[in-house]
Amino acid sequence: MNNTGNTGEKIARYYLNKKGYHILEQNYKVSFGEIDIIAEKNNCICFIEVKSRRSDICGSPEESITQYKKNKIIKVAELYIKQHKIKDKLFRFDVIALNLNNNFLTKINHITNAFHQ
Amino acid sequence: MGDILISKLCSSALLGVEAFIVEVEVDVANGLPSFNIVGLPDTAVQESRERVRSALRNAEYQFPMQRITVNLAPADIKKEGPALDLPIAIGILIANEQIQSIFYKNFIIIGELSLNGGIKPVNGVLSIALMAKKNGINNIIVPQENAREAGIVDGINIYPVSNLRQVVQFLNKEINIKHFCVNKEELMSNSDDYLVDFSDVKGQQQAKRALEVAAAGGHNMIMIGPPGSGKTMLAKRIPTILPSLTLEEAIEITRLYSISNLANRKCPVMTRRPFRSPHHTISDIGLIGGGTIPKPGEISLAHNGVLFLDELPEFNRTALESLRQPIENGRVNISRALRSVTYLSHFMLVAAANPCPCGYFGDPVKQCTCTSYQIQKYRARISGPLLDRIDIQIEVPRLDYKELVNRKNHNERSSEIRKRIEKARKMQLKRFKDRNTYNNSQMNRKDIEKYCSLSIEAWDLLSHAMEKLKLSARAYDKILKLARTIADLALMEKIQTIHIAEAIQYRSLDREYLI
Repeated sequence: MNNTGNTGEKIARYYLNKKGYHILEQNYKVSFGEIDIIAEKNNCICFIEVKSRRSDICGSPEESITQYKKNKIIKVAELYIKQHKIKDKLFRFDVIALNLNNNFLTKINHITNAFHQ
Repeated sequence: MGDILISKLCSSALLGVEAFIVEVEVDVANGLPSFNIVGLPDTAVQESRERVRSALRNAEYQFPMQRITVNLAPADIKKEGPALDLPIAIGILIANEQIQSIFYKNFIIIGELSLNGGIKPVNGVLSIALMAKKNGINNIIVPQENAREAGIVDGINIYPVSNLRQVVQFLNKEINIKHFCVNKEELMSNSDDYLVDFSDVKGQQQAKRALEVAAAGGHNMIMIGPPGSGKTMLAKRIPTILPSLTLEEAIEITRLYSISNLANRKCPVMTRRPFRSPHHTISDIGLIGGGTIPKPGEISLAHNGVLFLDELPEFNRTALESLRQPIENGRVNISRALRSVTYLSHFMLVAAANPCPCGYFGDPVKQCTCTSYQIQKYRARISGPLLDRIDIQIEVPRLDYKELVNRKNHNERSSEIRKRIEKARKMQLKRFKDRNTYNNSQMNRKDIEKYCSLSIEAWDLLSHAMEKLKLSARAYDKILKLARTIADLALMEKIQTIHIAEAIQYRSLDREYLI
């Protein structure tokens, strides 16, 4: 199993809880993609992609999110909104980038409004 | 939150030299965050999304992370350029309720945004200001650098702005911006500091006189002579004797320069007549104007001024032939798949040419080395119809060595020649008052009948010349117009026989030289 990813997501959830977000879903999976965390705060629903890295050798976690990945997240988000018939809410796409060293957090970067349609 | 907000405000875009109103509608609704612009935007308008986003953030306004749709009406005309940045940004702020007032209703807003929220100058502001006045919109928000240009238009309030924050505060009535006024006399004042002067040219009295007549009436002219006789030197000094511009003429020229992005930002109003001398490798489109979205060519940039074509036979034949219509009509209609536009092109054509490939045909000193076939071929490059449209055709002969070194000869200064020309132009302006005609060369058939009446002796001379020289009907009109200018230079209301005689002798090429 991919340990880094799971640890990262765990840390991200903890971080969001601390920040006052209410977590609606984790690993929301559909046939064509997945959203790591869906959380809500202040009437705004956030679709969050968590990226964890053990080292920056292959580039920072922030830059590893490609346009292809973004489009996938947007598609899944659209489906989620439709399925749950959400109205009168704001939406946002966030990225949480984590650097880990031996399962210890060295850096966390929460980018709000990281991308848009 | 939750309700749909739409804002609507006015801006403007350009279609050729004319501006039209663009209604900028912005809708901010809930949904996945996105920012779309519809209504036939071109690339520069599409890119304004990124500029608007950054500018709003950096000016410390909130960019709504909602579904933003911008519509540019009328949706069937393509909008180009970055001038719509500012209205889109303001529209978003209004839709997002960051601007509360409804004060913007009677405004046209234009401006390009920079990423830090500053406002940059745009093209065609004069056209937009004129259009605003025509449509009864009294207020216009323009970039600071464009204020002087817009200021020539009377009767509208111009608010110059330099950053986004200022515009928002102004619309929220938090600050007041003084509307901009320009001193038109100061704007139109022309400083006569030329590096060259007609007194530099020794001898060539006939050519100088011909140039004076041409400049006084805006007549077309061709100079033919051996290399080194002073054709180019004479032509370079034409700007120093051109009459000053009227305000209407200056506005016509400024509009063309403004949309071509050639206007001087510090002094945007053209106070001098343009003098354009394109190189002979110019393409047809460069000369006439064109492109997918038609831009003005050299003939339009020479509007109300001089188009100087040095080495006329070296020009591309199709380029020269395409000059025919604009010379006659004073305007050129450029049609492309996307749109068709009309640009004004009332220019005075001044051309210089050699009589043959080696240049010395008819020279009293140096022998011409060309074969008759070569000469024939060389001359055939300038077509008869084009030549027929040139009123003044003169030879510029080799200058005698003695005349060149003679210091006693009095050579008139440009300022003296210009004084006479100004007087002659004044007569013409009085004659064509309120008629959109500014000089004798623009007269139509009716004007000629009205203003160029001749005495019986003059008639005799002209009809005799017509028969002998086998002149065309157009040449006949041109001679009458030219005679009118010569009489104006002599400050006479009636055309005399000597004026007709001088006008006829300027058609030397019809007489014997070329063709």
